[in-house]
Amino acid sequence: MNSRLMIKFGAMCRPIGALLICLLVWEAACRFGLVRPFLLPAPSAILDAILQEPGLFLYHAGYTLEATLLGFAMAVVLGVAMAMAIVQFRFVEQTLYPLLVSFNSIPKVAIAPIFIVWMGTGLEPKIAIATMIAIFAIVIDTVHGLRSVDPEMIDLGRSVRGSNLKIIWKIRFPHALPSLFAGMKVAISLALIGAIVGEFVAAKRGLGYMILLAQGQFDVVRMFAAMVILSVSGLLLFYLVGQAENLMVPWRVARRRSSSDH
Amino acid sequence: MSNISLERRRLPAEERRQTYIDVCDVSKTYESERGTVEALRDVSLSIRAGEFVSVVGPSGCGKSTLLRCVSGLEQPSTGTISLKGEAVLSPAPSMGMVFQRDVLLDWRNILDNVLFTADFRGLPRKQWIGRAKELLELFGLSEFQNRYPWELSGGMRMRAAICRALLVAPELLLMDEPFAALDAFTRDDLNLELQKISQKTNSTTIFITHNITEAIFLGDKVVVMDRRPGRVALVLDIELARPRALSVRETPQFAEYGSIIRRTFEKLGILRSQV
Repeated sequence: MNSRLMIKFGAMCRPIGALLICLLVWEAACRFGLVRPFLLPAPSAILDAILQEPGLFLYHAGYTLEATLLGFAMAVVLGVAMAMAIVQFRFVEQTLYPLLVSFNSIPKVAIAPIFIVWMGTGLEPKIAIATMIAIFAIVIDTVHGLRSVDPEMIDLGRSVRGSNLKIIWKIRFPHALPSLFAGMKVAISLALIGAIVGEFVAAKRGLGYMILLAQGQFDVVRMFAAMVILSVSGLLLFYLVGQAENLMVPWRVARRRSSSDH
Repeated sequence: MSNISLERRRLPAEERRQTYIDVCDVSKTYESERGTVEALRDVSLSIRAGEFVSVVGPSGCGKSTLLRCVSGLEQPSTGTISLKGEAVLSPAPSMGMVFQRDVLLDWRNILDNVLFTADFRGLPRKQWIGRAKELLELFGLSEFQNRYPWELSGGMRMRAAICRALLVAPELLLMDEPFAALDAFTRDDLNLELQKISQKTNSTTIFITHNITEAIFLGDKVVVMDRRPGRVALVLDIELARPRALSVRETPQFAEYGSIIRRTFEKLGILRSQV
């Protein structure tokens, strides 16, 4: 137990150490006048900007996170439903699946302005764009998970006269959970991108809006501050999905651990 | 119906003599990318209630296909299979099945895996929990009932899979090479346990294996199959008294059965008698 904790601590130390060294070099470069502060402000200046108006940053970050999380939730619900339909019905697989793949190749940024026209400048278009960008990863991974069930497991369900619905809900879906979570880890970051894209096109709030506004005022420090908040939010969201995975897919976690031990 | 205990279900002499499963001229062909595969040809077999039938044959002799047809998971291309006189068109309600792999569900603990059968049939699990625990006790898994499949060894997982199949006291138990992936010691253990439980429950059992010794040890009857297309080459009655100890395998009578089966395989060109 003790040694496991040590290993965990060691594993945490390295990336944090690397980050600290980068920040130190950056800070030093600014202090010694190697870069001009209005192009690249020092980390300490960025931190200072955040600490001076924490409420403002929180206000904008909250808006962006709301769009991200709602978009992500929509992507999960719709994506899982689509994946189930694709696996269950040949007709859906032959119609919806190719459509989805071709739709995914359209750059979403190009569609964003149309969503603003349709839905206005409120939260709705941002949610829609976040959903649209995130859903593909969910569908692809969930379809893969639902399909990778051992055929004998399906036979087992059929042998005890389980209905199709029971087989998909009680065998295929739980079996696909690890894949679904793999898709969710990609999707949560994509949802955040989607929300920012939406805000770039038209918004009155949010971190994306803040960056654009600061750009207009040539306030590089604030732009960086918003970016820092954005990356921390992204990390946090990713971490939360990982924690949810540990909670809901314990068998996968145990297997991963035992395979890394040997 | 948890009051169905594990006591021996007494079958009246009449019922014992009756045909329980009747496989009549069954053939099965598959369409695959490499053309038509004939898995079974004209297989006929009749099995009495309470009988333990081992089916032995080399890989690819269609023995699993035969089992899948009897289970109702697949339909024969021609011929009929009937259970108590009625054609088998879908899995029968009174059937339990054990597969080559244990196919335990990773997200359910051992007790919930055993109760899977009740859940899927829509039976109230409260009524079955007692029997599930009784079965786990019988197979020495009591202390593992709250553990998850990935915490157990292969032998214990297979025991749990058998408990799952036995939960709803099946009249018909179908086993598709259940012990093929286990080591020899665990296999011996499970052979004994299976014999014990099948004498208690008196389920009619079809047991697929490619191990001749195991087939004789467990069976009231051994069906020897020829490969491609699968046909019945020999049906051998095994008249060894029950319960059989593992040492029965060293008796001359057992050796005689073994040599009859081996000679059949030699004649079919499946086993070679000389190097």
